[in-house]
Amino acid sequence: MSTRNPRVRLVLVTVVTALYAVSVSCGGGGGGGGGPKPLVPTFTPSNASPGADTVSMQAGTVSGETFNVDIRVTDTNAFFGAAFSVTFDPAVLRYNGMGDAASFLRDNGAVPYFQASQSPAGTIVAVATRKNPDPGVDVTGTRTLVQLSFTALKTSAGSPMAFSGSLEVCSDAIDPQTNQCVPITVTWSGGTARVN
Amino acid sequence: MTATRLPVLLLAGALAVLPAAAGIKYVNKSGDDATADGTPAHPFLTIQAALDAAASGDEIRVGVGTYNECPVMAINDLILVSEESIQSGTNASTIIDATGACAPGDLGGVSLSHLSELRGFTVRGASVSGVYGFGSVRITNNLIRNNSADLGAGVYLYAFPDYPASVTTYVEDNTIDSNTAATEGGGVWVYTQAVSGQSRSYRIEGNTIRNNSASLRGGGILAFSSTGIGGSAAIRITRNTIQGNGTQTAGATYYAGGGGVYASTFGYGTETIEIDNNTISTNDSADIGGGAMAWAQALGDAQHTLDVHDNAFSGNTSVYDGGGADIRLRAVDLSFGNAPSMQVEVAGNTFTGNSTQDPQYFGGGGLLASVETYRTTRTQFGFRLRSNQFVGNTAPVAAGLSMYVVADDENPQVANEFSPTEAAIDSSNNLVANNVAQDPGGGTFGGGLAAFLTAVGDATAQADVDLATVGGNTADLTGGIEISPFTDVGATSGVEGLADFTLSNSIVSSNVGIGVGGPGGANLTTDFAYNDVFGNSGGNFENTLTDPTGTQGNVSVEPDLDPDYFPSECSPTIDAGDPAADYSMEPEPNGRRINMGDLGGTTLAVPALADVDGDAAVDGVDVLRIATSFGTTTGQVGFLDAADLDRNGVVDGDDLSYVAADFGHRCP
Repeated sequence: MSTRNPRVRLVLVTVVTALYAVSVSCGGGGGGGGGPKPLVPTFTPSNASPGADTVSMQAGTVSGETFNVDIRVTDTNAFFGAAFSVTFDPAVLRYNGMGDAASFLRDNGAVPYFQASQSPAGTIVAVATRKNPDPGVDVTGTRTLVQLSFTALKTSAGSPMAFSGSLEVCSDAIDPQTNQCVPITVTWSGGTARVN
Repeated sequence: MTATRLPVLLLAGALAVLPAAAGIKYVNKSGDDATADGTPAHPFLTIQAALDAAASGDEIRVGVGTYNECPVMAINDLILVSEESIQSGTNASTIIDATGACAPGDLGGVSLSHLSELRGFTVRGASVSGVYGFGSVRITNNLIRNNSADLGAGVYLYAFPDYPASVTTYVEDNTIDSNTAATEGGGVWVYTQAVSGQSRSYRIEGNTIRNNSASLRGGGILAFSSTGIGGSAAIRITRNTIQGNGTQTAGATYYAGGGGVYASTFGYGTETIEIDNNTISTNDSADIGGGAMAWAQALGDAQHTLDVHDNAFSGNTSVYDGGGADIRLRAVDLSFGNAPSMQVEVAGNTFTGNSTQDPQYFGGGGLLASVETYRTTRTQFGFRLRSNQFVGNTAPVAAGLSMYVVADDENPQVANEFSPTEAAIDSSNNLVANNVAQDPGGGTFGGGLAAFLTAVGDATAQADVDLATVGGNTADLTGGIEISPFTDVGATSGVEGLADFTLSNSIVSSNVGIGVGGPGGANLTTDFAYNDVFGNSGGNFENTLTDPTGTQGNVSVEPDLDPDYFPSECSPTIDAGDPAADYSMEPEPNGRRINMGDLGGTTLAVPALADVDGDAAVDGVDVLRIATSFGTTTGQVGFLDAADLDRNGVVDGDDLSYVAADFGHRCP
């Protein structure tokens, strides 16, 4: 039977998983406890209640050993885009990619630009921005800019995750002297990943 | 005088008024010449009998078997083809074995007349040329082997200077193997002659020419072009495999050598020789030009072109000069003509693993390029070396590339009549790497390249090396570049000649020995601009030269090249060439400035890092700069010049794509 259709493969995985669950719940398999213990990641932000003009890491969804760190913006006017880097311990976490589907930059049908790349290992270089002539976004409360996905690789009592490198937030105003954006001064706030 | 059947052939051709209708005549080993009518039911036994019975336009089809004869076409316009060739494209089983069969005066194992064709035979054993072709012939898909002659042991091609008026000849897809010429042209011999109003075109294409030999020149191919005023000749040698051929005579003159190919123009008309896309390997010359010897010499008002491009020269050897190839231009009193022109270009070739031996000459393990002019100004000629690779060759001197330039205003004719005499070689975009100058006697120099500049009288000998990468070469003295001038005062003019060397936009690094040097002295001028000369074990510049580092854009920094001499995107040689040089061919973003090195100015140049904010890293800030000025054009509010990476006057998706491609890259 071909399994090239991913939908078929998903069904198979679901069935196999269901059968495994049934066998465990029925006491099948005898002996138990021989496999590796699943890792359980959690993310704790440095500031769970950020103030205005803050770009922060916040805990996102968790699915097994994979979890998201949301990059969120709090109470900022004319937010046009942000450039940032995130550092983490690549021995503890594997970076999977950056999600932008929920980004507030997409408000009002705008087509923003997102890119992220891990280089070198343990450093994610990222950007999320609108493009001229789209206006900046007035962010009220705390909203999600992008989401970074990680998978836990080994246990850690506390692995720091921090913003680093060239950090910049642009407003939609242009400095006529430099033809560059007028920056918004923000506070950058990271967090810690724990893996049990 | 030895009689030949050639005059008969010509007379018959000339008198043919109404050719018979084209037909097919058959030959096979069960035929009978006495009763044959050429039909399948009554074929001829011999090829000669069928040819004798044929009319112009006929096709003679020959069955498999061995035919011990030397067939001669006595009329023009015939097709001689093997049945196996028609049926399966092969040639091994239909054999014309000329051993002991040729009559006195026969010129070939098979003699082809004007407008005729030979296809699908094995031709062997002739003590004259294997195949002789007169006028326009087509020789296709034959195996021509083990023939011996004075000239053109495998194939001999000829036409009179004035007959036929037009010649178009093809030698295609043959294997020409193990033929031996007592003088020249072991595999193929072509001699074009054309007088006013006549044209000659010879194409030698797609053949395998191997293991042939000639005593004097042209072990594999000899192609000789000679025209009178108003005549035209073109020889194209293309897509052949020319391998294991050789010459044996060490004459040490211009007129010997060319283990694989010897090609020459010489005349007053329009002549073109093109050698392109061949694989030329493991040929050997006891004189010069192991793989190929090609030279152009125009007379009077001539227009000559010699174009050697996109060939692979490897593993060839010579005794004196030009292990891979020896390419020369010689101009004597060209100003006597109305608008003479000689153009030689050597471009896109690779020269790898070739060698030449004798330390008393001018070396050129990969290539010896030579220009000699006598009372001729530069407007009359051009010699260009462009986008070649010289890698891993050996010679006692000038292991990769030898540039031998002679300008003589004195000897032997009237001095100063067309002063100043000029001789020059222009080199650009060449890679010269990992060559070794070696000799048991020591004192080797020019591990990469050497420029021998000789000027006598009111004359200038010049070599211009632009956009070169010279790296990893080895010599006892100058591992990278040797500048060797010789100038003398003209006996008549009292003026001393000038040797002039220019090095620009080039990288000279990691050579074993001195980077750039020479003996100095003589009347030498040098110009160094926008070069990176770095990390040469014997010092970057010999003390006979003034070290130009820090002036005219010259630097000495690690060029950051990979083992194939390809610069990294962080190389300081990127966008560091002459700001006035043409960068337009470099891929975007090209920084609006040419790169140093052999890839500079080309489509293969390494693009500048798409670093908008100039911090040596491509990151989100660079994207922000583009995003905030996105869609703006030059002069508009918000237009950021640095964000317009491709300099097209608008910040757009292309610019964003350049940043996207480099995103996350960082230079140390």
